Amino acid sequence: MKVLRYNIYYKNFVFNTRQRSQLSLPTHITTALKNGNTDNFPQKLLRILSTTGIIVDEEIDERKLFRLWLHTYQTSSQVVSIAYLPTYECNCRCVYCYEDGVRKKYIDTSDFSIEVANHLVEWIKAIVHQVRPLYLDFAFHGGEPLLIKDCLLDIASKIYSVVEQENIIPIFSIVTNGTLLTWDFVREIRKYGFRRALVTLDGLPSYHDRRRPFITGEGTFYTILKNIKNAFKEGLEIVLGFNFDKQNYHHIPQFLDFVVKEALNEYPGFYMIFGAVRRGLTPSNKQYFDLYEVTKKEAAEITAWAYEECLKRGIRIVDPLGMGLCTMKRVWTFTVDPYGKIFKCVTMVRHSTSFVGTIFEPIELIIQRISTIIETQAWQELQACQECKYLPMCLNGCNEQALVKNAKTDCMKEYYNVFIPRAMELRAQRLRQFPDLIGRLRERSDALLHSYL
Amino acid sequence: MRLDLGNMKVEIIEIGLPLSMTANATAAGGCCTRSQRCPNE
Repeated sequence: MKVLRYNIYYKNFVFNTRQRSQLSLPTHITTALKNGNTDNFPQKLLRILSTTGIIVDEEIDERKLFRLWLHTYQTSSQVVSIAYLPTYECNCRCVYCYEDGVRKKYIDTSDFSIEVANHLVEWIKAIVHQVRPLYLDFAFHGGEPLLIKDCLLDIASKIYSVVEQENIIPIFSIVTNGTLLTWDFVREIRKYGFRRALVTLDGLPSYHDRRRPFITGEGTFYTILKNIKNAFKEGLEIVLGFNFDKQNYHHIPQFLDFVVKEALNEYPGFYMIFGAVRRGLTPSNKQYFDLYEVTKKEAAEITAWAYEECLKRGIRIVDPLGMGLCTMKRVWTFTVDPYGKIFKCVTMVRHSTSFVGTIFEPIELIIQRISTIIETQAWQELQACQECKYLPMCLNGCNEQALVKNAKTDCMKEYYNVFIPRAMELRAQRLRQFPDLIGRLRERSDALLHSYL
Repeated sequence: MRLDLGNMKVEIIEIGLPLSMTANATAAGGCCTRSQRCPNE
């Protein structure tokens, strides 16, 4: 058997960047793996290592395996993902908003169109008929989607009817600033398969309200907090985002103490997630990023530290190494804007690089344009990328960030070097602290290992 | 998830998915290398 290049070793852990698998092994086994020596491994161990993609048979060509994996993942229609932006308008003015520039440049008045929304439902029907996905991953995004609450419920009910009729599993969510996420709306949207909302608090009011105020300049913190608590009562999962930069990152422990004081962490559907604020393609607040944007290495250190602080306090976190393939690199993912224009990434709406057509065109035309994006990724021509152990996770990083920097790629090596080892520990710790997560892992593991253990 | 292989113990932290995908890159955004965010449970 042969040990693969996509393995990362740290302490007694081994993590595979292609399969995102991770094992904790006796020290002598990890040492032998690092040395590429599997000679004396027992048969059952070899099976586990093969199943998790950490070793392969001698005759397997690793590059071919990677290509097959990537191709399968990129073209898989098991999941069709659609992020719908019913409006670019927003009732908040976050200091680092990546869409603010878009809004100023293109949007004069209310942009929501019920005709476009209804056509979107028909378009979704056409796609699911064509590709027969197992899951429809649909998200209301924005702008602030809840500005058009009543219409949103109407669209949600129609899309839910589609998945019910077609026997497709819904993975429905809302990305919202949380200010309009009232209990009555949550109660209604829950009827249509919406299980989760991604809401953001950037700290306690002294920080959050400066960074994410209403248009009027008033604070949003307490409105959002009240809505989160009410959403729990309706059984909505809340993934609470904390966007950090040099302005607020040091405040994370104080904020997490507040999360515990308010008992948010006692709700099992509550998860924390951290992200570094990045300069977008159309920033309207350039000076802000000059002052506060963190480097990749700093982002990795702060993110890992923030998750460690969460676990110390018994706060659930998302899987820190669970990142999927980005939407720019998969076929069946679409971001649809209020005008029915389709882009490949929410952070690149209204940008020609990400534009692939409209919902008024045949799907075939859209797929043709997507093929150009997918088949012209820079890593395919760069030797350094081809040899990098992070390639399956990175695939030249974020296309938007590469454009921002006017670079070929957005190399993530600096980030992963710091983040992955610490995230491997976090992953293990998270399972120990929240045993209900093991149940789901066991189901999948049993299915994959059942035949030979 | 701990497995006892007789003379050694192995802990599976994550088994991963060989050639299929779940929705762990979701339309809800944050799935990406841009922000390192992934609401993927």
